[in-house]
Amino acid sequence: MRVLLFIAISIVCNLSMLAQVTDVEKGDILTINGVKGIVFIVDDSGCHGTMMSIKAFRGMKNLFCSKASLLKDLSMTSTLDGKANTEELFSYVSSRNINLAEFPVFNWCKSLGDGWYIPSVEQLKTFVNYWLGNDDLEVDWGDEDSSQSDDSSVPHTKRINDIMMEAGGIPFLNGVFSSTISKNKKVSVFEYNKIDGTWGFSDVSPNKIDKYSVGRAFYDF
Amino acid sequence: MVAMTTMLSAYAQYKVGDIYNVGGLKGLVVDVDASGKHGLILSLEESDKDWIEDEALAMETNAFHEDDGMKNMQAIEKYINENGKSWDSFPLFAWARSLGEGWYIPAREELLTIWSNLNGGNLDFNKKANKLWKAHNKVVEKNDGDELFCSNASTGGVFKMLCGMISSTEAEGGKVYVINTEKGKNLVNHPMGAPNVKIVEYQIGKKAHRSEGDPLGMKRVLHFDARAVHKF
Repeated sequence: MRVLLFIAISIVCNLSMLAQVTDVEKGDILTINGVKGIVFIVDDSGCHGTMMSIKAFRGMKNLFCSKASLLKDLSMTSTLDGKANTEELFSYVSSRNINLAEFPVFNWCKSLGDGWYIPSVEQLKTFVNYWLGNDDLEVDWGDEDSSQSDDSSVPHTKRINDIMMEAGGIPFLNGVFSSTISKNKKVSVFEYNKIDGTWGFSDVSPNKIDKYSVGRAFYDF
Repeated sequence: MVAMTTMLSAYAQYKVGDIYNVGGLKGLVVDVDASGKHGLILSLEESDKDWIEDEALAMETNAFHEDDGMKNMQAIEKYINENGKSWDSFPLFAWARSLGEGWYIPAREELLTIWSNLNGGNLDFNKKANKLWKAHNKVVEKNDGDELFCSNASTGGVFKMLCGMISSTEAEGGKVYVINTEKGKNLVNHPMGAPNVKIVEYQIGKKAHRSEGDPLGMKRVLHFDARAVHKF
């Protein structure tokens, strides 16, 4: 019975992976329709997870929207579901005949292809914890070959940034904004202090999101 | 004679502050490995070229490597090839290339190492370090290089200060990492002697050569140019 169950699970996984990926690990670079991302969440099957675009949306100013008043009738308050926030924005501009270019980062996100979205504050926080190495709890098995271990003298942030740069992307820097908007129409922005390593999220007026912040897109596979 | 010189240089051991001059490759030794045979040299020549020619492109390039400036050169080259640009769009990098193969603009961490080594092994710019920099400067000038110091505009050029160096590493907001001492406090020939100040990093615009945040334009002005490095 257990064997049959195992075979059934394997078939389901393999079927779902035919046009997708297998044996994925955190830190892998995947390419979806020519767009590269770094995997930071993956389930036990190694088939499903979430990745972040290795490239970022950069610009001098008005990266979130061309004017703050455009957010007036948008809620996008989900702190957990960036895909819902992104879809709400897409529906909003579509129903009101607003040019998506008024929301530059979402316009960029759309250009990456179907399935990409601007992460919510909690989703972005998950990546930040991965980037900082906070979610990789090491287990000392004793008889493991130590030569296989990573160089712990290199900060985890640098290792992840190096992976993204080697793949042609740009490193994760301080100042990344989410798709979560507070009730007073401010955007949750990740801020990192490189000198002391402290970090947090601040609510920033959309018209104050400038060249020191970038947009990143996520993709669930 | 030439053969003998080559043979001798193959066995030579270098230390920081020496002049490396082998096979047409010449510079100030700024880093060495344990053997003393391999390391990094700093160009004797200084450049006042801009990191980028058109600041509108400041957010387009991906030269974010912090520990290897050659990788930043490669990132710039990739951008040039993919966007139909030329090295003229990146004057500082074009200058480094003009020095010959293997020369590049050092990355952020390489600059920190260079300055720490020239400063005596740390980033405290004190009396002892001041003497070291003067000694290095003497060596550079003796070999027809550009001096490591520049005039401080706020004192009418009477006093000199260390000239900061520009790295190849991009920072956030289309800026680049540069290095110098704390603002306005490194007058190397001031009669009161060298103060105890820190060597620190700054971030400046890609076409900038002076520190920012200086509304009065007085003694807090710092100047930044660049030098290239080459491995040996």
